Amino acid sequence: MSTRLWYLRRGVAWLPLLGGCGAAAVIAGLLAWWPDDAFLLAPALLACCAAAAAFAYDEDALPVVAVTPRGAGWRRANRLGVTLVPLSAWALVVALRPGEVPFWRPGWWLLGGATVLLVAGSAALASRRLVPTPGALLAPVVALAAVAPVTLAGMFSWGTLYPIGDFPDTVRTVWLGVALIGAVVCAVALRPGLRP
Amino acid sequence: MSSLSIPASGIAGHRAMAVIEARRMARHPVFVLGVALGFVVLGLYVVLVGDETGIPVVLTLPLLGAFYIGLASVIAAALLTRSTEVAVETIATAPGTEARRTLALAATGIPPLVAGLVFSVALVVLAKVIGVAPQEWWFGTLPDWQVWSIVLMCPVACFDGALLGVLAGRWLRFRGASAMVVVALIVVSVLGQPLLDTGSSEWRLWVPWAIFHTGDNPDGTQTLIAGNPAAYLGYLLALGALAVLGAMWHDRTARTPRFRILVAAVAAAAVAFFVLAATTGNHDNRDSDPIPSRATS
Repeated sequence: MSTRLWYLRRGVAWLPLLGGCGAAAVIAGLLAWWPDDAFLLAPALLACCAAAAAFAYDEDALPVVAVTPRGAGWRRANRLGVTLVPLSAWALVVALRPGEVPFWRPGWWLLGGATVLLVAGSAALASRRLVPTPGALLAPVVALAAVAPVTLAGMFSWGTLYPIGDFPDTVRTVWLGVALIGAVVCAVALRPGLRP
Repeated sequence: MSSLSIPASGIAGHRAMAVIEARRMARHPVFVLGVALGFVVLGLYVVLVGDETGIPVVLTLPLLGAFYIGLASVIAAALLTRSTEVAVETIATAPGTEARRTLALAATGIPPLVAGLVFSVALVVLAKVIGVAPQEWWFGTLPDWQVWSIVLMCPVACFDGALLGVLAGRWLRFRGASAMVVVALIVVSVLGQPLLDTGSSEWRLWVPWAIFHTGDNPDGTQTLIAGNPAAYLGYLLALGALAVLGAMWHDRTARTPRFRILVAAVAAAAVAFFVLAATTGNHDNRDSDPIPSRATS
């Protein structure tokens, strides 16, 4: 355990990861102040947490550490645990409901967990393909993708993927699908060895 | 070898550098993805949302282009700007200054501008071919200059997005800076404009993306929000120019007295356009005649 913690303490890019969590905390504060804008602030908060998770696999010296005797699989499996940090930040905000926004907690926990799992899996997959800093590209793309459904909700009659109040079954199904894809991506990325 | 043939100074050299940056932008996967998504969503909207009266709430649709193309351009331009940092020591020994390279990077705004223009033209052509409801805020119910000003906000926002990306790339060194800029831009644009607040809505125009059209109201009407969209377009262009100058400011050697005067002049122009946008044009929100098929209450 101590070896793992030692590695995670020194190997993980904590600054951008915690920076993303800090930005999420700022948006949680805005949410408490402007609960009526939760339709956008909640996805923006998710964007920050997901962007933070994208940095879990950033490792500048990847070509060197990937071929150490301990193995790339050990490294990737341990780094997956780091995503618990942004995931905890998300879970905490949903539990606290800033501004008394009526989040249906199980649904919003699912929503955040699915997104963070998919992002972490994608970063792990990129790391498996020897991309040293997948977060640099993945974080902004994920941030944009997390907020994009808000623009669609206002224009199409499909409803929103971020329902405030009731959490319809169709939305739950969509997020369960995202979680399933995230789990598959993680499973593929965490297989032992390097490239496929 | 081709880079050695580029003149070290002068207009020709700058043009060559700008063309290189514009090409890099046009080929950047994030930009290409943003453009594709923008057009796909527009196509889906036209196919799925249109009713017997034609395309609904056309004046809200520039938002789609601005969101997908503009925000993707922020990310792509920031990444392109940062991409040369790994070789900064080598680049520093080459002829030319950082400010000159930054000015060339401003050409990354050209592909988003073109993509935004194509988006706007497609929107106008589709509205012409498919039609819009006679009560809709569009040509015929609004002066042409107002419609064009709102429609052209899309390409200008796309252009500005790339310039903001260059600014972010030059000044923000931490990883994930472009992600934070994108989220901040969205949050500021929404929180900064109290929509439908008739008392103070003109002063919302300080935000980088102001909304002029609410979409369909429950009674079938549409609201045109107060303010002068033509002056706001000028304000957006001035913000873009400020972004480029701000990025060039990063180079200490560029901060000559003439450059400082230029920055002050552009900042003054931005303020002037903002004041014009807020104090001229429509002073109150205007509701259209109701479109019966769109009424939901």
